[in-house]
Amino acid sequence: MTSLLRQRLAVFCTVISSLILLVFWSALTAGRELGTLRNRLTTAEFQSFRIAGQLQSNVIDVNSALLACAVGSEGGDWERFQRESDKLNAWLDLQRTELKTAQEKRVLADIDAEYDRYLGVAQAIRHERGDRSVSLTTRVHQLNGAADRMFALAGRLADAHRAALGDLLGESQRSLRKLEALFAAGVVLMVIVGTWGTRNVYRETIMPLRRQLIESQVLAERHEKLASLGVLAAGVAHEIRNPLTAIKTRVFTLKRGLAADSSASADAAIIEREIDRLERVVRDFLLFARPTDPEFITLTAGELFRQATELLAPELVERGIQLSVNPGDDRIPFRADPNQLMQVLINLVRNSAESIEGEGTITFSARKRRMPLGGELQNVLVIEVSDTGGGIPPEIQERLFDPFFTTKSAGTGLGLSIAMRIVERHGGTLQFQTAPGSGTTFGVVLPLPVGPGSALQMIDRTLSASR
Amino acid sequence: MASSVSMTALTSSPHPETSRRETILVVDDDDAVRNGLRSVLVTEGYAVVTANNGFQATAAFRSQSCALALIDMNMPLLNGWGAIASLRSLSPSLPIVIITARPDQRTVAREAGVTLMEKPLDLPLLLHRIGELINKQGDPAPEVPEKTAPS
Repeated sequence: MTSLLRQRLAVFCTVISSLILLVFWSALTAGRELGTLRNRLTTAEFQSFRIAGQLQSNVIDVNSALLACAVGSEGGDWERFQRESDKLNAWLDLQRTELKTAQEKRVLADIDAEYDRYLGVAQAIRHERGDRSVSLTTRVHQLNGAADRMFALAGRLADAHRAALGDLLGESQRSLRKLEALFAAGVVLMVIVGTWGTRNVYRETIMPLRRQLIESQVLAERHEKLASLGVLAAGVAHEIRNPLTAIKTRVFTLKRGLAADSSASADAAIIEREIDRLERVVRDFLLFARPTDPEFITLTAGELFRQATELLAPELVERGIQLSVNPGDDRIPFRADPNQLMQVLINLVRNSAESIEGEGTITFSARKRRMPLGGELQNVLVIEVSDTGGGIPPEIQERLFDPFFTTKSAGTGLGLSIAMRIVERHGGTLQFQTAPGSGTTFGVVLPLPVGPGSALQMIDRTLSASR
Repeated sequence: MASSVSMTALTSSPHPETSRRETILVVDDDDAVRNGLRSVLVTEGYAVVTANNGFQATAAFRSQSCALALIDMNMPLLNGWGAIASLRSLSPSLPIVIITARPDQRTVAREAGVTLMEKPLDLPLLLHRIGELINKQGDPAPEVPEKTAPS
């Protein structure tokens, strides 16, 4: 019981800890991923603003170098133009690798084409340097035109970049939402699993414990009540038995002086019978209120059945009731007080006999079973007393074991309570199954010895087999 | 019934009053029980000495030797066990039958090796037992009556 309980609690704790760790880890991972995504988005946003500015400033640099070259006459200016031009080329190469979308690539191709045209104009300017036949103003116009177109393209590139960024943003938002959904699902799953686990642990572990606690409290209260009842019973018995003794002695001497066939003798016999009846009530009350501790010995159900049959069969046969034995497992040895168990069997048989109207059968049987007893699954011996009587009506079933509850005019209503108390003191329990109209089976459930006891069983079995 | 059978057997014996004069000591604090028992025993032909408690019982036994003692348990001053100890110190082989209304003396009595009968007494059985014990006492053979040996 306790080991199973410990195991269950350990599993529950492990599951809950794993869940907590999982959620913690998910939260950390999700947070990190989200942070990275956010950084990338910010960088990309900055980039789209920068890209147009970079192209424009490069073009301006190239342009001013070219203008200087056109206006001046030294070779140094052209070299400066070459340098700026290389810089612009390098920037364009860099963008080719960085820009991804088709639109961006188209705009970049347009920029390349326009730049080629611009370089054509630049070459022309270089070759015509000092040649006054071509108007410098015309070339500058051409140049500015090419540069303006490139500026415009730079604007378009920025737009294209921003559009690409928009796609990225959208995608990121979707990813984010997915992540969030996953996270929410995880939390919901955890809550479900946690609730389920908690409920299971409560139902499987805590509830049985609670039930056991309540049961043992009820049992303790009952024992307490019975203990005080025992003291009361002993006192009452003492006070009743002394006058009964006195009455008995006087009836005894009275009878000596009477003729055996006189009416006074018949009266005396009635008085004696009633004294006996009173004594039976006192004895039943004492058996119920002050059961003695069982004196355990090893015995078998078969021996009990034989003795009970010898004792009870004659009076039952007179009433038309057969007493039979269905051996089953009646050779399995167990520990009990034979006298007390005999009392139980007598009470059960008498109870059964009273439920039979006319002819009927009462059957003893014994079965070995595995069932929960005292909150623990264990091997038990069930000694059964079955009858073919009228069964127990539902309204009576609840009160069956209540002391002083009886349906008979002459009973004390203690028979089944006494049986229950004796069986309980043997660490067992008393059960019944009843079907109105077809009979009742009472089962005395007694624990079978475990461990060293099984060796004992083996020896006893060998002994009884060799008998 | 077994009791009615043995009663017939006991009551049918001819003139028991004249055939027995053994003295029996009856110790009980309940007047009705004590007098009732005396009446029964006298009817059965025994001489009877009575006492209210253990001290009186000891005094009575000193002045009048008895063949057997019926002793109640719950008594003032000196209870049944005290009375038994005291009587046994005077006569170790005195047969004693405890008569008690208390339900919890059986095991103690068995362990002490004393015959016990619970009230209300089965009188024919009690008389039978008394007869047995006194006869055994009269026999030279066993000092301790068989009935008082722990079973």
